[in-house]
Amino acid sequence: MMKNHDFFLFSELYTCYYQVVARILQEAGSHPVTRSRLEKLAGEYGYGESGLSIVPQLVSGRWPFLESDSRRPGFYGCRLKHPVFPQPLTNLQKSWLKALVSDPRFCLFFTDCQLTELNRWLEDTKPLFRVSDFCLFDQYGDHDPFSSAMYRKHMYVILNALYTRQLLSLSYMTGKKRILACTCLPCRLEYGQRDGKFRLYAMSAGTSGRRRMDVLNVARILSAEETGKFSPEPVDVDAFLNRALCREPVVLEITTERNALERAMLHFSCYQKKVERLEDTGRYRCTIYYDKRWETELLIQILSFGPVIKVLEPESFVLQIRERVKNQAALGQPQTHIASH
Amino acid sequence: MSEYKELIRQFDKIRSYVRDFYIYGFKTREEFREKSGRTYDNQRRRMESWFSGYMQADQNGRKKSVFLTMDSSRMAVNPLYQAWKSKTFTDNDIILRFFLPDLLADGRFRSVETIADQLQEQYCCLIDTQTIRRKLAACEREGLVVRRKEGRQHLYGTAGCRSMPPDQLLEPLARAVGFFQGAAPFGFIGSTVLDFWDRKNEYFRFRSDYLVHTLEDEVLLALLTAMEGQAGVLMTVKSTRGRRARDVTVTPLKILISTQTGRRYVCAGQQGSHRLSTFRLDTIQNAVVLEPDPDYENHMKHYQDIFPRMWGVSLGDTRAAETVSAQICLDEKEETHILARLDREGRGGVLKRLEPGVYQYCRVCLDAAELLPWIKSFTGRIRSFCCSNPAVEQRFWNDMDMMKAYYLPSGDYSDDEKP
Repeated sequence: MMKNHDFFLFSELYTCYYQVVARILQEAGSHPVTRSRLEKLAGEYGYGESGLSIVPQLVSGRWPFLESDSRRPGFYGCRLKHPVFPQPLTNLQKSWLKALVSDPRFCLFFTDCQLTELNRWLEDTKPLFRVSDFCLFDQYGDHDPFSSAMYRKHMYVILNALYTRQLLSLSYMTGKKRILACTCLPCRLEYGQRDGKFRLYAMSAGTSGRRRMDVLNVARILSAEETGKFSPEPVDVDAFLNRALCREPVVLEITTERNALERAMLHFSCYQKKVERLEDTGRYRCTIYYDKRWETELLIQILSFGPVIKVLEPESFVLQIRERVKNQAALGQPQTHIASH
Repeated sequence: MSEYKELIRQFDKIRSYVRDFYIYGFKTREEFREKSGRTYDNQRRRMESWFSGYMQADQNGRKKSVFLTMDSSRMAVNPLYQAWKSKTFTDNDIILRFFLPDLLADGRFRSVETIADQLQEQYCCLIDTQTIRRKLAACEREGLVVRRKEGRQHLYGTAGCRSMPPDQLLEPLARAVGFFQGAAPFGFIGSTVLDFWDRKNEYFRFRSDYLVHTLEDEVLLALLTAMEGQAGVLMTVKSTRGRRARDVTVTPLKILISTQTGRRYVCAGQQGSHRLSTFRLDTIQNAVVLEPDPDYENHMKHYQDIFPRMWGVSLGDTRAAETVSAQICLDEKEETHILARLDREGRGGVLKRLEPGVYQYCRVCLDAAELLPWIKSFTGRIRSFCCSNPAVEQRFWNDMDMMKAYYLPSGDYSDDEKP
């Protein structure tokens, strides 16, 4: 029997409590902290009940990292002599980074010089996995051109703008082949695993001055230039997206035939959802909260299940399904020419 | 009776609970029959603690179900990674975790005895040399500490620049990690890098992300280790429908990931035969790497030969390929997106324009039944559907009839029809 592998994923090194303590020590290293501050930090970085375990250990000295401030009773300072962060990486973490180097998306984050330097640093590290060991067999065929020089340049400009909150001047080819030009603030990059595409959430001001959030396919950006203007405040993207949330969730009835429940539960697990068992029928009622912008995608997913999933609500969604079923019925009955091709 | 703790010793014990709470979410306490009610209560309390903010409860009469739910496209970091960060530790573990690096940060190398003395002098920590030696050995394995021999003594120091990238790479690397912790296998490891560097993922989000995959990572690591060594694995597999677990010995060849359905599989060669099989990763409870398989190359060649004829992961009941053909109607001016869908989602199928507004899609595959969900996603546009496997063709039309029966119950397809 060979050794399973050199690494342990489930290791105390990565435990949440260590990170809570590290953050407490970081703050206590810069200025003495009170017990209530310790509890607050434990609540912020730990699990729901972590503070109950961590804070007494620190205050009692069983974990002897803190010392009472002799001049200010109730305040605690840090006994460490050096900053806690950044912490050195383990072999497992380096091995994971090394595996990423072969990912075609990795170069988007670096210049060629940086990549050379990074490869030198990871020279003796064995990759945790080989990208070629994975096959995303149903990913769409038209994913973004990650290796294209222009795409890489645009991503580099966008990434810098995101992190520095710099406004960009963009020109963009729309889906209908129109060219748009705008000045906008990049706020978020969304990656879709299904289509292998990056989408940029960028805020711009309309002619009336009202701010709006545009979603741009990075591959359709024709040029991206820095403007030298910066936004002082970060933008709450989720607040914009909340406006697109459906008012009424879609409600499905799922049968247990053909393993439908199991398939559907996994398929729709990326949505916020609620599932109930209908005791009288043995079927299941699933309520899905979705983003209105992706309604057609959800509709197509539901159709792919065929009759094992029925849409119960809302009426507007049922009507869309009914329309498609009606169109299908109008196309006529099966043509029984099996294997005629 | 042992006291409840937030942290746990073994990951396996909570894997199925997290999955059930997240994927299904309708099970009540009584339905978790594999362990006692008290075990369920403790696990539920842990999950409420680990995933606070994402846990919800539903009361149905006297029965209460607790579930874990979230919109994955809003998550900066997969909340399920928290489960990986719940390992228990001892007082000495945490003391040495912080004091050892702090002591060694000056770059000097020290013997175990000197380390023990200085921990006592500088940090008032009395820890025996045996414990320190064990911890240093563990840190050395993890790459956090290096050892060198001077005379008859072993001296220990920090790994220095080996464990930290050059300063100028920290920023771009932290950005890349922010992205890949959500987009690469073993993303949990990326989230620990962010933890170690006190960074957050602020700017990346991931659409249609199947967060539950992280629970399979330990099994995945064993499979990848076997694949790299061209070795076999002994796996314990328990299908979602079956009650019993069974052991199988196979040679893993490829990890097959469905970005559409959220399933991940391993395609593996059966030892002692030339047959291939696929197993869902979430059904594999355990995997132990065995010796290298001398037949590995043959299995891989077999996989490469048949892969172009697979639609998904099914190898079919027979080796005879099946043919599917569908005619799809669309408005060529207004509905170019339909044509784009056929092209980009068709996995190498042949698309042919039969007449204005009608395209024929044709694909050869090992198991035509696998194509049905995709074809059905074009409901409303399918002018014909034919398959060399009559059972598949029949099932398609039966499904269409059932859809009509439910959504158009009166059989009247006119526009003013009411449900």
